[in-house]
Formats: sequence, C-alpha cells, structure tokens
Amino acid sequence: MEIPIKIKYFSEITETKVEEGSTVEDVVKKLGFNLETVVVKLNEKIVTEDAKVKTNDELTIIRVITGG
Amino acid sequence: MALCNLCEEHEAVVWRRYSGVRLCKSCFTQSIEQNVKRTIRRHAMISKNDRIALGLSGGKDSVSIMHLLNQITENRPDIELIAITIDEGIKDYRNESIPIAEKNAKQLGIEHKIVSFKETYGYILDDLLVLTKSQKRRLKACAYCGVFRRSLLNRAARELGATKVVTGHNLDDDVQAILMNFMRSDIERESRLGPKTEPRHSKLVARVKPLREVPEREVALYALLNEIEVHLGECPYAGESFRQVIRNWLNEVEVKYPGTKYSILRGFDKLLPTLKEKFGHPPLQECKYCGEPTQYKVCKACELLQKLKT
Repeated sequence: MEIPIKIKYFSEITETKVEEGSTVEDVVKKLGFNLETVVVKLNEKIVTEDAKVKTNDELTIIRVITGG
Repeated sequence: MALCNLCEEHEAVVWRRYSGVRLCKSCFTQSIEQNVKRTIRRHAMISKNDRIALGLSGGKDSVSIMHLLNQITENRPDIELIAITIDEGIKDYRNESIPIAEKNAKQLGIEHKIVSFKETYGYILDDLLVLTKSQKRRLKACAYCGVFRRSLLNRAARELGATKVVTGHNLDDDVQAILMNFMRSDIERESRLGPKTEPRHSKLVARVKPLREVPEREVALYALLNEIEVHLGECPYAGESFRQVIRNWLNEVEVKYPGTKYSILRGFDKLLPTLKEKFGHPPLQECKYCGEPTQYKVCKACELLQKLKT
C-alpha cells in the first residue's frame, strides 16, 4: 500500500506517494539523489537514512555536496 | 528510533556506514573535533607562534574549519588566525558566499581580507572566459581559476605575514585529486599531494589541510547541526570539470562499498613517501614577470595571462 508524504527541496513543497514501510534512504533514492550528497530532515529533525517514513511526514532534502 | 552508539542516550543523527557507528549530535560534533585535532597533531600542522591564514570562501568547508580552528586555538594566545577570501569574479556564486564569509569572520573576531582576480590579474573570471572563448582558445574554467586562486592565496598570505596557509580540503577533495592525478598519469603532481606541503621557496607559505580526514558530507552535517551559516551554492562552472565526473562516480561507489574513500586515502598515504623520494622536489625559481615562485622561467598564471595578449 502507498502512503502520501511531503517532500521539501529548497523552499518548494511537493507531495508524493511511497510504499508503506519505506525508509528515508528508499525515498532519497527514488527521488534520484545520492545519499552521500544530501542531509535529510524528517519532520524538521536530522535523521539517519534508515528512519521509516509515515503517512503525511515531511521530508526535507538538503543538497550539501555541489561543485565548487 | 536509533540511539547513539557512544552515549546510548540520544537519538542518532548520522550513521557512518564505513565504520558501522551511529552518533548523536553531541558525540558526532566531538568526533569531528577529535578527527581534526588528530590530523593537526599527526602532521605537526600548527607550530608555536604561527600566524595562520585561512582560505575562506564562505562555503561549508572553509567556514567549518575556521570555527574548528578558532575553538582548537582558543587557549593558544601565541597562535593568530586571519582569513583570506579570493574573489574570482563569478556571478551568482562568489558574490553570494562573500557576505557569509564576512559574517562568520566577524562573529569570531577574525581579521578578514578580500583579494580579487580583478585587482591582481586585471580580469574577473567570468570576463576572462568570455574573452578566451572569443579568441577560440578557452580552457576549462578550473584551469584558470585553480592556477590564479592558488597563486593569489599564497601571495596574500605571505603579504599578511602568515607562517601557514590552512585550506578546507576534505576527504572527498583529496581522494578526487588522487584519482584525477592518477587518471591523467601525472604522478609528479601526485607526489606533491599530501596533508602538508612544505615550502620549496622562501616566497611560499606552508599549506596544511586539517579537514583531510573528514568526509565532505560530515563537514556539511557539522555546520548544519551547529547552526553555522555556510554557502551551499554550486559554482556555475562545476559541470564542465573532470572533478565533477570523478565526484559523482566516487559517491556512487561509496554508497555501494562504504569506506572506499578512506581506503583510497590510506593507500595513497602508504605510497606517498616513495613518491616523494622518487620525484624529489627541486627548488623553485622566481617568475621573470611577476616574481612568484615557479618550476619554470614563467609561472603558470603569467603564462595564461600572456596568452590572452597574443
């Protein structure tokens, strides 16, 4: 079963659906990011990538590795 | 909820797959500080009465190492920190990071000097790239930027009386450089890559990299967790660099095989003494145009500038 969650990237919030029981890592990969290049907040708290997402959670993706 | 493996009390904010350890904010912050102190000690990066010039861009690496060094040298009245920002002249990038660099230096009470490509070389990077493109001889942006930035940082540090230059190079930066040199078969350059570059000329200031053993993602995490304001923007020219290809590839490998970055660094560190012995490093001479130290008669910066005029 799929559950709805919110994704915040920069200041834009979008809604998406993920499989129930998905981890932060699953979502990050699904969105096409490499785990080494982002820090993720789950409901405003920085979490490890094995944290599980629940219905209506807000996941903030902070891209921390760019080229410079 | 995963708990910190060290204090077993607070929620983990990082899971280091390369070691299997999960850490909370406080234990993670401490571990970064210990990592940097260990690197400084192991390579004797700081000496008594040092006047340390920090290359400060405003990005996560340079701002974080400034905060860390400020804290580490807190009880060392003999050590002085100064920050130097190089303004290359990159629109929508450097103009955004400089105010953040200024703000952080001011917050810590660190003397801060900004020097620019424009006042030193007569061009901002953006214009130089347009000009060379019109001359049909444009190199990749990093080819100009790297040469000018390195030379200018050394010159500014020397003019400010610095005895050391600290840069914010992290684990990823060094591992990328190791791979890039190897892939270009530039083993002589490889032999000059290390935690500490001793000066080969009286006009060169020793360069050290205290963040060399901290993964790039963890530098960013350190800044975020400790609410240090940093610039996370991307250089508009990054996409054209060879480094970007290596960076992406390396991050893919690291996710599949955690610990690869550290393995490459450890392997390189085992090779380094042999490489140094093989290549030796002959003393440098002074460039006939600008007087800066160089391996040949004309330094790379002047060579690039001369080409613009011909």
